[in-house]
Amino acid sequence: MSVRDRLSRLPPTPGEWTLRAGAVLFALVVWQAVAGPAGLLVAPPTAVAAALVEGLVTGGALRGALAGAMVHAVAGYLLAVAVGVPLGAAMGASDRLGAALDPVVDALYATPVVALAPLFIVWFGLSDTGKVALVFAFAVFVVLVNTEAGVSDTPEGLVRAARAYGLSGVGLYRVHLRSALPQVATGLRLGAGRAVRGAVAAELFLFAGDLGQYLIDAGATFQVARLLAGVVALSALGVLALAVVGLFERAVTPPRGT
Amino acid sequence: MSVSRRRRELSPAAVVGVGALLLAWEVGGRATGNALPPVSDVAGALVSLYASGAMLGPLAGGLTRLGLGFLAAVAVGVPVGAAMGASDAADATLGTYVAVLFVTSVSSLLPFLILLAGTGLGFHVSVVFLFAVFHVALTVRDGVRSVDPGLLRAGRVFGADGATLVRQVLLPASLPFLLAALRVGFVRAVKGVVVAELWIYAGFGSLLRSFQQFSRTDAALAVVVQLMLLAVLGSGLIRAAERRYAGWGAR
Repeated sequence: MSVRDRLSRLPPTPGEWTLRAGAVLFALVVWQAVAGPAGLLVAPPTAVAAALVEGLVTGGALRGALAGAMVHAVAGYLLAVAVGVPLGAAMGASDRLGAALDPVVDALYATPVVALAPLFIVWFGLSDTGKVALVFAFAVFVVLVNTEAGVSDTPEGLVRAARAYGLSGVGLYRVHLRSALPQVATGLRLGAGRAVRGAVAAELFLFAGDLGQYLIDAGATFQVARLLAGVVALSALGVLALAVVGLFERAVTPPRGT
Repeated sequence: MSVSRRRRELSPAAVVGVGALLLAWEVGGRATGNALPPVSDVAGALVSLYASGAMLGPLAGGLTRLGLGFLAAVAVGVPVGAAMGASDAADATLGTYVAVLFVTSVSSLLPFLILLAGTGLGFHVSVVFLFAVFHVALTVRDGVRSVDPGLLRAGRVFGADGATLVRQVLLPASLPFLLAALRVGFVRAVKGVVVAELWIYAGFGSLLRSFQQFSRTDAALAVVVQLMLLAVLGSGLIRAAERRYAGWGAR
């Protein structure tokens, strides 16, 4: 991931942009050409675009559905940050705590979070709390793990210098955190993407709010254009969430080569 | 992936940490009147799920779907990722598709995939495939991109080019990333299995949903633990291969 992040900061050349635009155009043309003969099951991009406009602008059904789900995404995400950053920082700063909890965090990180959905229904009922909790579970580990890695990679000399100047406790914690900021920010960015996915999972696997209903109804009634418009809008929302947090990441990351 | 200095070996501290958490879970569960089933109940439920045979069908079915979807994801993701790493043009074209699909929520595609593939094996395998393939491709791409250009130059100086250069220099040098890609892809594939099965109440999904109906949180947690073990064991095996065959990799 770090390599990709580093490379993606290189400005793409105009030739590359042409290729990328060409690739998108090609896919759209093929999609449009295939959609006709494929009949009901694949809506052409023009129909999806029309459904997008209808859902987001003129009608607004999709817009409202997305807004509702995003409330859960934001609440769960903030909770994940509030827990993941301090816990990850503590695990990164203390070798012993890190070693003690790493296996558990690794195992939970690998666990399919969505399998918890039936349990959350039992525990939280059909409530917003359950949805926020699922988003939290989706987002917290990537935030925690990246914070821990960043903090534990604080240069030894920096820590020793801070100690020599009499820093300890909270002061020392802040030195760690400052040095770890770029990677913490990476965790925050990835966590934002996970939060959007968690909100979708909550709509589909806990119980359907407006967004879940939108997707399920569109599928059940073969309104493929509406369905794909929802998928596309969700992707765009995910990209937007990553981009917003990415701005913060860029602000705290030192320029390349330093 | 970007996690560098994390400790992997089973240290005494890890044993203490895991033990303390399990104890806290047990005590917490009993103290809250089994709202959270204590870990001993969950372990008991897991054992009886195996003893009664209820776990065997979902496990066999899940492993089949996992294996097929994962293999398909590797078969597609590795070459695509390698091409994206080796060629800027492939990175701009294929990479655009991979990036777009990477950010798409596979869960939101479930109602669509049902329309296309029905509810049979094809549905499961395509969900697992979509969950894993983009992570595999992007990790392999990063691996090939991170190969030291000096190695390639040295290879050329010694007369390797084209296929030879790929086989003798590029592939061995990206081996650590290839194995990392398999590991990341495997964990994703397990998630894909669960998402697909939960969506159509099959396999583990039907177990989980029926335990939900009867509020059997101990048994539901036992299924979650089973899935966790599956992901952890599989990625642990691949990690062991990484240590054995790619221990020299920059990790």
